[in-house]
Amino acid sequence: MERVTHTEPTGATDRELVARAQGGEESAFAELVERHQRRAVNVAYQLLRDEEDAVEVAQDAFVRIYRAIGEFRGECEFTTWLHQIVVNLARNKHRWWWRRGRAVTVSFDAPVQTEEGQRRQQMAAPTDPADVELGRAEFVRTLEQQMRKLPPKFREVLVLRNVEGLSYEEIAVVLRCSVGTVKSRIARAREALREAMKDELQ
Amino acid sequence: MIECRKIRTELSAYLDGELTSAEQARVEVHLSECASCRQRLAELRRLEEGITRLPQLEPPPRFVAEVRQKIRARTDERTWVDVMFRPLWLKLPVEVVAVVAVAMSILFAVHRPAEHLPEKETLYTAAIETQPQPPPVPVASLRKQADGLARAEGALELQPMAAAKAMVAPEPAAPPVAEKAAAELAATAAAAVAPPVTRSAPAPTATKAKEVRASARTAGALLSEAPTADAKAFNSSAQQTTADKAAGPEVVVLANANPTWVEQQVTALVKEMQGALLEVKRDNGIARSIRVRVPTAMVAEFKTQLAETKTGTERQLRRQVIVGYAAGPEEQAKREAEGADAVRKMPMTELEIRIVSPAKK
Repeated sequence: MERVTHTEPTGATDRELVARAQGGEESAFAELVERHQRRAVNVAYQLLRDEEDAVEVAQDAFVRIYRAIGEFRGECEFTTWLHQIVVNLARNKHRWWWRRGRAVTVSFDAPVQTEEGQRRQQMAAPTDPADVELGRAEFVRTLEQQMRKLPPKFREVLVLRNVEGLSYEEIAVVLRCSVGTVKSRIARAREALREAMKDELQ
Repeated sequence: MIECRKIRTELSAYLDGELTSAEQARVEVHLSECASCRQRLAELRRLEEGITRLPQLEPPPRFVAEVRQKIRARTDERTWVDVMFRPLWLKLPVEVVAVVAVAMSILFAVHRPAEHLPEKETLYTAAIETQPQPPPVPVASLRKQADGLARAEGALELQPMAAAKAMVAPEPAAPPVAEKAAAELAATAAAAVAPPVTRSAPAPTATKAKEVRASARTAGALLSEAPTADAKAFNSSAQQTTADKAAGPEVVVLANANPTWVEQQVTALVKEMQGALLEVKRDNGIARSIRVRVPTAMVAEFKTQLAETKTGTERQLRRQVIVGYAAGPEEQAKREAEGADAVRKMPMTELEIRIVSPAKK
């Protein structure tokens, strides 16, 4: 572990890397982290919308994987397993917020100030200043707020489906439920979101 | 219209290409003749496209290095059980502290008598010291000797002799000298090696029994060729001394104008730390003195939190922070069960909390 500060992509598949990591090869594990860090961080961020917590959750997910890699039998893809852990840790984080009295469904009149300010700036200065582009940016911004207000279960399926592009079957494995449940949950989540975005969709 | 309702439930799956070809065909036929369902599909598409355009987060450059660090530190999730049983971040310091603590207890047990004990014991100890090659000192006898010392201390305490008082521990009601000193030493050692998270003095606990036993053997070897069984006995004696020696539980005097509030807080705290409420002495129904048993390792934390009962808010916050690290419900239940099991085997300390009105203090 110590020596491997930079891992060169070896072109090995996840399965090969997992097998080597199971054999105690630290560099193989490091490559897995390197390869999937972006995915882990971004999924966590889509679920939590908090940069610090997202990074923490993603890192903790890899720590868990490191500890449990010996038990990974390859019944599913490595990424599915990673998704599973990230989603679970994000759920814990929600519970934690809830316990600490931090509103999970944030009121957007008083959101996390700095974050919001920064993002608004990003949005307000698009590369293409055309009205269409501005309107779209505004739409995405409102969508982001409405996504935050969704129950975590709805947000999870939408993120896994639309951000990660997983199939219903893969989502079912990640969330440990049936494909039918995934299907109906996604439909309900979209319906809830459509309802919340009614004005913007006109 | 009935067809619309049926189709609408399928639109989402249609969008994702998750329908069978027959279902898909049916949806498409309907869409071709129903403008409002087409509209709805368009809206769902816009939402979908919007979600893919949500702000993303890139991992920070130090991400991989931090994962590595966390793996080494093993601290991604610290429940209060973890905080108690792994007070230090690294394995090595725990062992070092355990060795030092046990070695110090033995040293105290052997050397204290030389200072101020009745002749018989002094001679015995002196004999050990003057022998060119110290004979094996069975640890069990050391323990007996320590008990004798405690009784002697108790006796001394009753005499109004200034000199005698100077020789006994500065706080008459404090736990046995050897144990206290060992705990203090351990705390100092901990401060030297551990990051600032360590809150309670890391006295050797049940989970560390193996290490402690091993170190007891090492420590024993420093003094004598004590057999393993004796070393083991000694290990437990270090914890039993509280019960053996102390005349009564340590008294914590708490100035608070609201004894009922204090009682509630103490009850909650004790429960939280898996200790036990032993006795509440009341005066006209108002709690005046509460006797509790808490895990020895949590004594410091207990006192700290007790001192904060004035407002209650701070403690509330802390509790949430501690609980906050816990994992999912099943896992948490499992952990709690494990924790409870570990707690049963833990050395406990009795405390008496006396509530006085702020003016009297």
